[in-house]
Amino acid sequence: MYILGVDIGGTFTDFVFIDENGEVKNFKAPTTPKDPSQGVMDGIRTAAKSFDRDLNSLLSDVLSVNHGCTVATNALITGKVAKIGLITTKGFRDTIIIQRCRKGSGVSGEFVPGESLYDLQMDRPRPLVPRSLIEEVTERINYEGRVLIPLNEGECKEKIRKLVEENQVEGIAVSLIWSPINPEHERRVLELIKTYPDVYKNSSCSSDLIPQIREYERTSTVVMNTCLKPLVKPYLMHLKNRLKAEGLSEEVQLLIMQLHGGVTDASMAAENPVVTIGSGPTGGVIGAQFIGSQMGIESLITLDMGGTSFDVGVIVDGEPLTAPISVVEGYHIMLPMVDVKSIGAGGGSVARVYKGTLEVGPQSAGAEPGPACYGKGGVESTITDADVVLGYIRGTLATNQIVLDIEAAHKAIKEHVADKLNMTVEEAAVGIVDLANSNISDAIRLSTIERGYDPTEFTAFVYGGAGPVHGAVLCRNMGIKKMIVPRFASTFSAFGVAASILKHTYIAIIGPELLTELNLDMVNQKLTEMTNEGIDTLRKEHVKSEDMQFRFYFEMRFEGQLNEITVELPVTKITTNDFNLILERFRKEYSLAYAYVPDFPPEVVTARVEASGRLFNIPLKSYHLSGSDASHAIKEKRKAYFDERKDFLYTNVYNGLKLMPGNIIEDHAIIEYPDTVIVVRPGQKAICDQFKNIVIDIMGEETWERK
Amino acid sequence: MGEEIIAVTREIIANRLNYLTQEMGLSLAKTAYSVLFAENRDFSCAIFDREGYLLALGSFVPTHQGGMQGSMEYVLDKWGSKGLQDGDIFMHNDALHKGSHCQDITLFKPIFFDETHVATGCCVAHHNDTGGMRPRSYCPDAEEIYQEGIRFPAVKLFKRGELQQDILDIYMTNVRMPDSERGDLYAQLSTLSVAEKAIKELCERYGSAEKIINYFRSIQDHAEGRMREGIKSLKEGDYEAESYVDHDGWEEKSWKIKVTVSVKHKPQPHLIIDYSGSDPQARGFVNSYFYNTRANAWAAVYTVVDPYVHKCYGSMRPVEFNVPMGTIVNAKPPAPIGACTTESGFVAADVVALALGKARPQIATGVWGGSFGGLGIYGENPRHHKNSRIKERWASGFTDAGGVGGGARATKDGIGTVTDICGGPITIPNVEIMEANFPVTYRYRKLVSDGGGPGKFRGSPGYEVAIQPEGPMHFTCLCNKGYHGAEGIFGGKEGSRWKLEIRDAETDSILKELPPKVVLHPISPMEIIHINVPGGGGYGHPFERDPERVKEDVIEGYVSIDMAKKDYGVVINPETLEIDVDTTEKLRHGKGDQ
Repeated sequence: MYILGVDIGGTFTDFVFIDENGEVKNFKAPTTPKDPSQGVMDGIRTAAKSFDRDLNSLLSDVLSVNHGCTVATNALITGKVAKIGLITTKGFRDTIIIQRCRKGSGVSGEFVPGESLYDLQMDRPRPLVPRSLIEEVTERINYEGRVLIPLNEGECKEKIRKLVEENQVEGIAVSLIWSPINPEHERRVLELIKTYPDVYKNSSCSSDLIPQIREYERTSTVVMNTCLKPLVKPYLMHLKNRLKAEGLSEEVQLLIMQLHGGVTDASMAAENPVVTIGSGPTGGVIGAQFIGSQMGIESLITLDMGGTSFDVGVIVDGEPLTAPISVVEGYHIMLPMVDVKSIGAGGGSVARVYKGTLEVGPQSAGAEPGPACYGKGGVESTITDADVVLGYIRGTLATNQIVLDIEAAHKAIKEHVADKLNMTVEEAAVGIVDLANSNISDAIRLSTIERGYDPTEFTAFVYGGAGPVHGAVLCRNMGIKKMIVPRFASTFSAFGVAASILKHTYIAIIGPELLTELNLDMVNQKLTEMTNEGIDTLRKEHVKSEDMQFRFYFEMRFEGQLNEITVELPVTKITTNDFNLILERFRKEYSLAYAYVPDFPPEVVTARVEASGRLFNIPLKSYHLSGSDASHAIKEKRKAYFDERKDFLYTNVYNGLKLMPGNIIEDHAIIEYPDTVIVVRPGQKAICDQFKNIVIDIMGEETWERK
Repeated sequence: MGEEIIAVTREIIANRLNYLTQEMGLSLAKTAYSVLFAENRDFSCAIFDREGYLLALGSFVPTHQGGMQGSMEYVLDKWGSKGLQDGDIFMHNDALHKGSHCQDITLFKPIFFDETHVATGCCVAHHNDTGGMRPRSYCPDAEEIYQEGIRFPAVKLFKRGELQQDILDIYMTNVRMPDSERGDLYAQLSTLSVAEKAIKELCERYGSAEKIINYFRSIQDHAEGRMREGIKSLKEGDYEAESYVDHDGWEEKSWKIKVTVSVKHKPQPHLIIDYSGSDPQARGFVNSYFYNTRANAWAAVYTVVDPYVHKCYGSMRPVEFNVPMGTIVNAKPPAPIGACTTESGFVAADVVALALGKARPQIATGVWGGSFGGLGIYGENPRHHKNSRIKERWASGFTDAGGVGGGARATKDGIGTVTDICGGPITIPNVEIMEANFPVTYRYRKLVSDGGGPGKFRGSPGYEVAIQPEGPMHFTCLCNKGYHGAEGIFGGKEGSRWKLEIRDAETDSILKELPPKVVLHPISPMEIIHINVPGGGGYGHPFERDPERVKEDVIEGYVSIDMAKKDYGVVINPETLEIDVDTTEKLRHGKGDQ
């Protein structure tokens, strides 16, 4: 029996099969953008062949299909979303157009490194709903939830009619000012849309999705949700039907990765497709969390270097950090999302000389045509080309799907960098890799400091096509002492999706109210209501009561502040005796985020319940440790450049598949797998651990037991 | 290999410095006493080299950068290089000594490695109140700088690591909200520790203070070279532009700011920015002075010549200035200068961008909507529920009036409603956040119809906003572009102008039109403060705009049918929303291309 993880990427769709013993098998198949379900079926067929079984019998052995669905993210990237309408409070039609006047691509307008606020050609993405399809209705509720102006239903009906009959919208998003405090008007507008059942089924209102104030971010989220529904829902239903038709048992669920790191049943994801955003990067972080927990490591930084971007996640005390508001493809999402910061640097990042200055990125050669060395017609020089020149990668990549062209790499670097800076090709390649690594580590540092953490206290978890080549230098630059390359680094997101638990979050506004003056009866009742809702949902997803888990949180701040901090509650039912402990936790969390803790009374804004459950226990297969000698796995020696020695050194190249748990590699080395290359730097040590991960000791100080 | 690839190491160090300034900024945002202060992001962090030249400036508020440079120069003027000791922190906010307006408290910390002064960390932040005649130290009725707040002329707040309590006491005695001022000052201090640690690490990594100092010089020189290359790509010549500062707090008239930017290729490429011909200084607080004018002009030069060059003094060396004394852009003391940053400063930048844009049409833009519309509301808090977030008497700035239109570009319309280019990363808060925290109700916040300056490419509109107080209150307001809109370029027309009105809360009808500067004007709960924020200027003649784009603008509500005809010469049938091709052609042929 297997749990199947499927993650659809831009170029490849990745598959991971985990059996009841924790044995993992992975596969790749080309992504089929027109109908992504085709690529999914192709990959499963390939897997069946390698298992020597037919598709039907393999699928009938699958316990659950866990899927990272990228249909929504791709729709945002290409702008091909459904035509929808938006209904707002009179006077606030332009909230989503004005976008709080931000310029840069940060969450609150800040510029991320690489952008220039002096660039007059800067742009913001077009709103997902055109201004002509935004209608206002006469109504107003105030900050206390009091109705200042009643909803004008006649006008509202007419606006709905206009959107549907004259403009043929497929769905309508409803977002009214102060709806989280009093959702009465929003609900009523939604009711009125029922006149048009086909449109109603694709419509949503903001307070149902996000019962929290901040009208711009809330509207942005509900608009995104509505314009994705007509795309995501049919895709998920189609995929489910195909899987069932090919042999997946009727009672087996298709589970979809959500932005907070848990999975949910496809039918629920189809209703709120915004939860499927960002599934790939999230999957990787969840995979790291899973393996980290098996290894007893609670503080991890995940470094995922792909072709175009470098994604950084942080796990603290065994839990991935989440952000309350995120920006994806320029659009704001106000739902707790696993906080993965994306840096515009990947293997395909282009190196060029501009006005006498060497620059790397942010432009990328992407997957097509890709770096020059891919031999697919790319001519620009990239980080990957420099990696080839420096001897780190040779032969084939991505399980033989890419054959590296060394000549082309040399030529590209010579033309675009070396000749322009009067350097040799090798010097230029060193420069490119140095600059790229330095920029990336600066950016990672900034993104961890931004979240209140010091990178030197973390273990790095490194994956993605180009990650393990550069990871050891990045860790050294940042002062990280230990780095882990998971066994299936190139399909790691799919592994994470497979390892995810079912998860749902519920939010209720209970303030702002001083902690000490909370109406505890009301608060406890809300917590119970949310818990019951969680139990119902998990039950529908076949989770047994004993496998359910609930966690309770307050969003708190000091009086007079605008931003909240999440605090986990110590108990499920609160009494006044718990205030001290809650306050203590709040102050601790606050001091992590903001060094200066003010002396104001704390207040509570919202209560949150997180309900989760696991369908199956996934063990991680542990192997018996054999001897430390790794020489049996050496396949060749070749020259590779190491800046520590400022020279090309003869370097042992190991066949990773032959490494046995317990094998130790000392000093500089290259470890090759069909789909991953790991570079170990001079003075460092690497061990193949009992899970067949490669663990690199960056400082070379570790004294592993030798056999 | 390695040692000789100095260009890459230089790039690595330059990038490290840029990231470092961002880390300093984070530290400020995270330690600020008031989160609102942190959210507004009205602060900047920088690193100076040991000679006192700006070495790195992250993505902060462009207007700050020259105030910093001038202030640093004054620290050295006053103390001499030997007067900078390890552990010293200098505090400066004196416009009469090369600084900026009082609210911009600037701190400097010289950083030492192996007993050598390697660099100086700097942080400037706009404080909510630094004393003076009016709350928040914006005093439209000031006539002398002495009325605008307490000033510190490069005093040592810390002497060899020791806090000078006397200085702090004097400061706190002279401001209206000492608790939050103290907290925010401490937050600024934290950025300097971040800078010190990082610069020391850099010295350790590269071996010595001397080596790092050499690289710092090389960063300045390289940036200068790249800037000169950028200037060389501009056509030689003299480019002129003028614009206006409207109302000085006293008089309902405009002050002209005129600039001639000369692009010279010899002996080596450089620019001469000459503000001769600008009007004499004003009685009120809209004046600028040399260092503030230079700062804003620098920002404009970056936008046109090279937005991605390393921002430092080196990249500004190729720019020479002539700013005549006694004019609005370089007032004679003791003229008041409280609004120098967002008034004369922003306009000083606008004219340089406009003039230089003529030398590089593909990058030029219509003028952005400019000004930040400092709206402050003061009064008794009518909300009496027990845990109201604001105390009985409250005063708050509303960044609301900052939502201006971006100027149109060579190949596209202006960027949607934004804060001005000189406002950097500042954003506008959500209405729900404002209403939760302050006793006001927003009646609307929407785009100004026909607000974008017409052109082949259209300026973006500003927005109009209406705020109704819950009780009787007073407000102060300062904004520009009330008598002249943001100018278009290459035949583009101006964007809609700033308007400030008192309207009836019930009917939204205009009760009173107010000038661009207002001091403590009363407002009742039956009234609303209505503001039209300026739109951006257009690019190219509007008759050249693709009629299909005009039609789309009409459908999307950016342009009215009347204006489509009047401004763009495009006739659109109000029933079908289709273009009347024949009439349009006649109209455009008759009037266009003159």
